[in-house]
Amino acid sequence: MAVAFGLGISTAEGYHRIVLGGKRLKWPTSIITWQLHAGGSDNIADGSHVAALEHAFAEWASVPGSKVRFQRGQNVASKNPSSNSHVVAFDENNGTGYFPSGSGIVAITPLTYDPANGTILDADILFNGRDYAFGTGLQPGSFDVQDVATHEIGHFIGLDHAPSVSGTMWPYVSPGQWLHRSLSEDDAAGAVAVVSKDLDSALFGTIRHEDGSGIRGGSVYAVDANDGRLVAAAASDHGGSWRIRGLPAGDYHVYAAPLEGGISAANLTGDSQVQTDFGAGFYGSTAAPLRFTLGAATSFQCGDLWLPANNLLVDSTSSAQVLEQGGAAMLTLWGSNFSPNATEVWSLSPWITLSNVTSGSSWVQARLDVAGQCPPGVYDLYLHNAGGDFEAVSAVLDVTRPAPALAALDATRGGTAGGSPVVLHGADFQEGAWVLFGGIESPLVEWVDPGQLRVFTPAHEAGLADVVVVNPDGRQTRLPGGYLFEAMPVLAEVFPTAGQQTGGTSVLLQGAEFAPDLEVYFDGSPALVQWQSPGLAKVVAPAHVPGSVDLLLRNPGMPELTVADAFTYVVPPDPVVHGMTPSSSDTGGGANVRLSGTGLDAVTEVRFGVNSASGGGGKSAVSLQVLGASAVQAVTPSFKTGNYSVRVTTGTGQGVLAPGKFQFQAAASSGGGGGGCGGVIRPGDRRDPIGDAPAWLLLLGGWWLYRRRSLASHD
Amino acid sequence: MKPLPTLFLCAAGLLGWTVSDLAASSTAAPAADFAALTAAAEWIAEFQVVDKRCALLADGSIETRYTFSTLTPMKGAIPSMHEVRIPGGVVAGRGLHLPGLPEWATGDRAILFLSSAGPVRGWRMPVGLGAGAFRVIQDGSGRARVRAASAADGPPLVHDYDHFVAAVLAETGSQASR
Repeated sequence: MAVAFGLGISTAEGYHRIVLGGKRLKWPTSIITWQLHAGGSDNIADGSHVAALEHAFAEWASVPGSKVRFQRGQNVASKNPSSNSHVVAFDENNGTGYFPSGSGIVAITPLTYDPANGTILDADILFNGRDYAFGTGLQPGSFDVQDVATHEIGHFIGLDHAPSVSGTMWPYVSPGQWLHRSLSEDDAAGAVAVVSKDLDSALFGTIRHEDGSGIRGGSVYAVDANDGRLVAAAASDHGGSWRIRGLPAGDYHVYAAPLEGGISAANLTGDSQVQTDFGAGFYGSTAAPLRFTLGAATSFQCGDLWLPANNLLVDSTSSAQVLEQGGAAMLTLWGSNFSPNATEVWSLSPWITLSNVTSGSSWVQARLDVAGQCPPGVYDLYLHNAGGDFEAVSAVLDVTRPAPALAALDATRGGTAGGSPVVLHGADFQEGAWVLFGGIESPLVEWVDPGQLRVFTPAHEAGLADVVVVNPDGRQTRLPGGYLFEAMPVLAEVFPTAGQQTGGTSVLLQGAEFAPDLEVYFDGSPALVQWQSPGLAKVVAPAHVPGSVDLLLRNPGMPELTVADAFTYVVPPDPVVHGMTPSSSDTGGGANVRLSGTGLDAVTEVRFGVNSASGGGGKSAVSLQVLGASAVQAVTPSFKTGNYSVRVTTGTGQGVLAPGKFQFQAAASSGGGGGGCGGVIRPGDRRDPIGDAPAWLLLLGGWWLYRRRSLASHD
Repeated sequence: MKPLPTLFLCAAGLLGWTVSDLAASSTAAPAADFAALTAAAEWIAEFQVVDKRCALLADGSIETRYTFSTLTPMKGAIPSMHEVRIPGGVVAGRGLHLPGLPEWATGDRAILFLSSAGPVRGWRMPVGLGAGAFRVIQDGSGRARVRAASAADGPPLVHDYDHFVAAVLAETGSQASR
């Protein structure tokens, strides 16, 4: 604290609003509904956290001059922070993912917002119940729920951390701390500031009981007089005065109703301010509501609305019916004191038709038809029972545009670098729609018409990606695995690096990002390709005149890779190995192996321990003796146990893998001569003048021959 | 959002220390708060942001995928180039913001005390959010300096880069030898 004061931090204007992309975060309405996760806290058995949370919300709602208000909705079972309900939850197992081990975070408030205008779309408050203990009685070692919640609610309404150490928005907390349960002046100033300055057009008035007294906590609603949409709502103050701010210019009907039924006064934090002892009613009458015309940036006084005494017709419908434009559904409303087969239900929208109405004493059912041109938005329905009682069922119908449908893409594969043009075909695409490939947003989307979008793919890792179109109203469609991101092939190794001019050389290509339909060209001529894996392909070289050629590799639709002079055509036929004897060796090496075949007189390397699939790896023979065009003899190196291939390479770069496997096996334990003594040549194998010579002499001779050939080739 | 209480002490200490104070405190008993920050982190390193991409996950949440180049590893087995996923970001006309969590742009250098990756989404967090994140900047004379990542967490006091790194390494080494 001394540090902060010593640095001269202001205590009068210390609040910070969250500003992102130049936009201040703000809620679109002044009344925000929050819901408690039903699981509560593992540390609090008596349910006292509920009151602690309600008091924390009430602390912010009680700031003079602030229009921020809260109401508590029904408890929820899910604490998914990505849902659109504003949940307060204790995360006891890091199920939300926000509290990895070592994070040091006691609580967090993820805010989802619209970057275009800073409107807060969703907010949740999550307590880290896995790593920390919470309480309500200031127990030692426990974090105080109300203290922490009051801080998080500051974020919830769009305030950032503040540098005043005495303020609730100071970013740090200690167990047992209670100081931040109450707001400092800085925090209170922030609560006033978060009310949007855009809310500059308003209707206002007063609602009264029949005796003329003001009604506290009555809900007042503004309905667009032209299309019947419910536009905004507000609560009346202790004297019955109400003001609905932020309305666009237009014509409005206004009605008031008690807060009861599906949402009751008990859901509000300031429940002592709510009166429900009156009946609903319109300015004017239910049959002929008054029309108030509101200009831009103006306030309009609607006057007093005298409301009737309380009646028993109560709606308790707790969920909205969602219908697309042009849709139809059977809707059931629930409540009490409906009139069997005599309950009237209607809408103020010219685009909504109700028919086939039937009712009992606690329900009314009707067929709803929404015209195709009905503007999206929420709509009320209104009820009359046979006794003439009136009830408003507020915001019971949510009309949406049709969800987009994605049928096909004109290209279904492209490079991992992105930037590939793709046309999306479907229906009900809206202007301003976003397109995501595997969760990554397309950098450019052009709306052509409701059935077509032109996009460029984003950069994305290789693999199948879902394609998602999100309309601006939030509805979306997904095409699972609709696009394949493929990388440009990478070539690391070629074997052999040369082949006969007549073609037919089997060439192994090692690298990465080889697509199953990889194309390979030798100086422009296509090769037969056998795809083995993303890192290996076997190709058969086409015929070509002698000389070096470029290799071109291409995954279809991808940029191609060209490696200059990667392969050389030569005149001699490729070497061929028919067999090898023996086909095994001790791991210590030293075995004499004879390879037979054709074209072996130019062999310069025999490699053992080679990977059978890729032709890579292994070790060169300890020594090599060329016995003619039809045979070479090589001494195995030491190598680990296993089955491998043997690779033969000539001085021209031609080469081949010997057929069959060569096995390195652990040396047998024996009394003498075993264990790596592989250099001994058996008598039956000796057919030359040095046959009786010891093995080292044979090796020396082989080396001499090898050197002669090597020197000759360099000449 | 509210970080660990010990991190309050840590942050306050860092704000109050001069360069020489920080170096001295990390080698003496008062380094206990700095020790908590170091102990909680699985990775500590100076990173440079090579790439930054935001992604909308299937459940509707948003994460930012930073590709970090590790310039100076100080704690943990940190690859030289790797991806760190941190919640938040802007994609598809929606933004997810976590108050107190710093963000970085491509090219930024930062010394980060990072938590382990969570098993649910693989997210890492700077320990104590802003308390575990420091920006590496250059002053007017071109000398590297270290600054607390979030101005809202306190005045942007600046520390000498070499002394700061030395203090972290000393504390890391001290903890490793215990």
